[in-house]
Amino acid sequence: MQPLRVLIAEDDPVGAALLKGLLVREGHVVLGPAAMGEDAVRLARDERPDAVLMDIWLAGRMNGVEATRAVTADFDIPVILVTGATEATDRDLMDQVAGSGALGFMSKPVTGDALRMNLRIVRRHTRLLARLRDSEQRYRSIFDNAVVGIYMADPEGRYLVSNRAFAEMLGWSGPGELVSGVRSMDEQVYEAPGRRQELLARLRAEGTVTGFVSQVYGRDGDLLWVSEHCTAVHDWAGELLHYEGIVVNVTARIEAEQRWRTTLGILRNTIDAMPDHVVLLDLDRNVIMANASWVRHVCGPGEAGAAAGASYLPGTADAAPGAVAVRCPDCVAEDGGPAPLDRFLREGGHQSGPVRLLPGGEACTCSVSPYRAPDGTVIGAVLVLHRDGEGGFASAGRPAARVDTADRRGA
Amino acid sequence: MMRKHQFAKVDCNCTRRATHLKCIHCGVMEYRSLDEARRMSQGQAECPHPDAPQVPPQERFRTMMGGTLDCLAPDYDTHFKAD
Ligand SMILES: [Zn+2]
Repeated sequence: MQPLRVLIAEDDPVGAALLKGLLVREGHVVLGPAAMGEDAVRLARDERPDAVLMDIWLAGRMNGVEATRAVTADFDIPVILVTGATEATDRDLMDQVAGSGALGFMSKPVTGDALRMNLRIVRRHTRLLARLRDSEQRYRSIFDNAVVGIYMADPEGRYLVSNRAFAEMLGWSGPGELVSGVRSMDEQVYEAPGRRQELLARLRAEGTVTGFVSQVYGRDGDLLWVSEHCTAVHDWAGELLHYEGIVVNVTARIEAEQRWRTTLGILRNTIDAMPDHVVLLDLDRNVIMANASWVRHVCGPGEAGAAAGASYLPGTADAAPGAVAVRCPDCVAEDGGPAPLDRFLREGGHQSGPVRLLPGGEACTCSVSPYRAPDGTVIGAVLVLHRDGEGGFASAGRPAARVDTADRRGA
Repeated sequence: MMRKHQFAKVDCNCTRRATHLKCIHCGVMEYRSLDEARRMSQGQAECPHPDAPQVPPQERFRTMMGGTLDCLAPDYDTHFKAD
């Protein structure tokens, strides 16, 4: 077995010689002895021994318990305290020994067996510590080099720990600056008041919250969108101690969605603003989509779904709640022949002509144009019914713009 | 009227992302992830079996414009447990 380098701290030369003898007989290397507590700490710092045998009473101002505290806390070196038999019965002193950080304890006279046993504990402890440091370093490197933001925060709204990616995401120069600079996440980070409280409430109730998307302030006051995955850490009594978050910047995605929604809104408003009836049909005459003018015509202005207009997509998840079935326009040609839609379904191409809209027999012009899938195949038709003169169908019902205003006022 | 497959896991205990899926109506087998089964194109989704659920025309139209269909059976995790 590899010999240990052991520092002896003992102000009594006889006691020191005794310990040295025992150690040398076991094949270990002896450093010291240090007679004063201060010397023991200095030697431990300079020589980095594998273990220290520390007498409880030393010369100088620093006793063995204080020196043990310094050596274990500052250098992580295992210390075995050695004390006289009478002192071992002093309860106050033994309380101090227990709180000193010492790994082992022997009372005089020290026997070879007691020393061997204590040094075995030291070896085991050192191996364990090395393994711990190793795995900590590995995780530390994952944490530090992660592309996603990782943080730990307390329920009061302060960051406790952050990795570099998260600090940089929020525009801070580093984790230290973020942790000390953010005194209140509620005021400095989350844009919506109460947003973090919402997160906390869900963490308390569910333990884990995923895909929590919020708008947050960067350090310079710029706004960004983040998606958080948070996990609560509770104490033994079930009280929320702190929580850990993994954060992804989703600003680009949210902005793309907003641009897309705006474009879609413009398209919908455009076809809803048309005074003509516009209906998209598949080749079996099923209504895929209809503008506000046609939906109003079929449902009447008061009914649910009448204001849905172009968003009317029956049978899909997008359909307005409570929307009723919108039927395909039923027309007869003025000349008694097949209507433009029938001609389209038979011959394809663009078809149009004067028709009467049933029921009621309103005279209008019907035009049917092929509707193509991205690969060019015709999969449906766009049917437009235009009332000649008099400003189209809008004059008969409520104009689309009025529907829109009335809706907003009612909301 | 178009009908769609309803896939269920053949091995209910399989924990891999991609696994063997079988349509509970026509019996066709596919090796796919559950996410893929939730987003199938029209060609992949169409089931010839008369008991398979119908796809509403509006939904079918969307698949022709690039939309996808959810082809996972509601009990996809447990359907073949008895086998
Ligand atoms: Zn099938």
